[in-house]
Amino acid sequence: MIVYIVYDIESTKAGNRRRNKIVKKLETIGLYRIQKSVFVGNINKNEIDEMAVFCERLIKEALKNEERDALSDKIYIFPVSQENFENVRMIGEEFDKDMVSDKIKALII
Amino acid sequence: MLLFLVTFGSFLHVRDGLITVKIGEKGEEKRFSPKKIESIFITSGAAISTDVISLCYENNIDIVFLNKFGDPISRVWHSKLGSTTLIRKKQLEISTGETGTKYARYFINKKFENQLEWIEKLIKTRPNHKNILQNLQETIIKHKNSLNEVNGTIEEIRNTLLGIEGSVGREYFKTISQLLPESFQFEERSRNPAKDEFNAALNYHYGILYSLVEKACILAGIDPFIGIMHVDNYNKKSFVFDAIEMVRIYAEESTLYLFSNRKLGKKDFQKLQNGVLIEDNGKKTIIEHFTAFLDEPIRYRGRNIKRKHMPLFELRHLANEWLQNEREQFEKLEIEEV
Repeated sequence: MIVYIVYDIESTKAGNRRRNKIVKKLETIGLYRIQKSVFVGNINKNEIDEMAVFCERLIKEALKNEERDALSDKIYIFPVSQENFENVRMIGEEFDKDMVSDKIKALII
Repeated sequence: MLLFLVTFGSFLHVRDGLITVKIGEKGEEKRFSPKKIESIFITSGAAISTDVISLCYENNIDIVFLNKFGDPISRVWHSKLGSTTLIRKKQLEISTGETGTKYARYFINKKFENQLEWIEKLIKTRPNHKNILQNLQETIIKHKNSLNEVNGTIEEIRNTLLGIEGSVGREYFKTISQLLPESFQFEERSRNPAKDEFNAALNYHYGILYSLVEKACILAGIDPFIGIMHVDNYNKKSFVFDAIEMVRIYAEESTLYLFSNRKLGKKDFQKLQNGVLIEDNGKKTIIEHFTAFLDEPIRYRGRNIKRKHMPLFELRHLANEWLQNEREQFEKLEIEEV
C-alpha cells in the first residue's frame, strides 16, 4: 500500500529530538523523504500500524515528561491507491516515482 | 530490490539503521531501508563494515560476491540451517540410493518440459524457423521418453543421464544459435571464459540464477553441497546444479530476447585474447531485464507466483516430500507429468 506521511512537530529543543526519532523510524521502515516533512513509500498494513504505535507512544511519553509543546504535534497518514499515485503531478524538482512505489527491482550503482 | 555494487571503491556501511552506500571513493551517499533490499551483489572492489553484515543478518539479506564473469564466488549469510537437519539426512540417503534416480530423472524431465513449452511458443512467433524448431522438439521428446527406461542406482546411471542431457543440450543450443542475428551465432557452449557474446551473456544470467537457487536451497533446508546428479561434473558436490536445471530456461529466454531485440550489441562486449567479457553497460542491461523478467507472475501448481519464487516453492515441495516419506505419492505425480 502506498502511503503519504505528513507531520508537524514543534521546533523546540525537545520537539527537534522527537522529530529526529520519527524521521529515523520512517526511513528504516522503508519510506522515502520527498519533502522536509513529507514521506512516501510502499509499505504493508503491519508496518503502518507499527509506525502509528511508535508515534503515539512518543507523544504520550513527551506529555508525561512535561513537554507541553507535544500537544500540538500532528502526524497524518494518507493511504493512496496505485491509480491515484500514478497521476501525481510534480512541479519543480521531482522525486523518483518508480523508486518509492517499489517498481525498481534491481539497482545498479 | 536487488542491489548491485559495480563502482570500484564503494563503501557499504550503516547509518541511522539504514544501509548506506558511498559510491566510489569520493562519491555521494545513497541510503536504503533494509526492509527494501533482498540481496546485495558486489562485483568490484568495495569495502564493507561488519555492521552491515549484522544488519543484513537480522533482515535476511544475503551479500553475494560475483567475479567478472558474473559467477557467484562467495556469500555472506547467517549460519543457520534454514530448517531441520532431518531433511539433510534424507538428502544423503537419496543421493546414493535408487530414489536418487527418481529425483535426477525428475529434474531432467522438468528441464525438457520447460524446453518443449518454450519451443512451442517460439514456433508461433518465428514461423521462418518452424522446421528446425520442430526437429528439436522431436529430439527432445525422443530423449525424454528414453529417460523412463533408465533404471538402477544413481551411481550406475549417472553417466547415462548426463549423456542424455548432453546430447539434447548440444542440439538445443545449435538451434538457438540459428535463431540469433547472424553476427551473434555461435559454435557451442563455452564458459570461463565464454568464447562469444551469446555465451558470455548466458553465463552471466546463469550466475544470477545460481545464487537465487542456492538461497532457495538453504531456505528450504536442503544442503546445497549434496548433489544427486551433478557430482563428478563440477569439482563441487552441488545440489544447486541439480536444482538449477528446473529454471535454466528463464536465463535462456531472457538471453535470446536481449539479442534478437538488439538490446545487446557488439559494443556491450569486449574481445579478449581467449574469450569475451561483458562491458559494464551490457551487464546493466542484463541485470535490469532479467530481474524484471524474474519478477513476472507465472502459473505454478495451480497458483500464481513470481518466477523468482519458483525454485523456493519447488524445493520446499521436495523437502516436504522427503520428510513425509510419501514416495508413492511422488511416483503418482511423476507418472502424471511424464
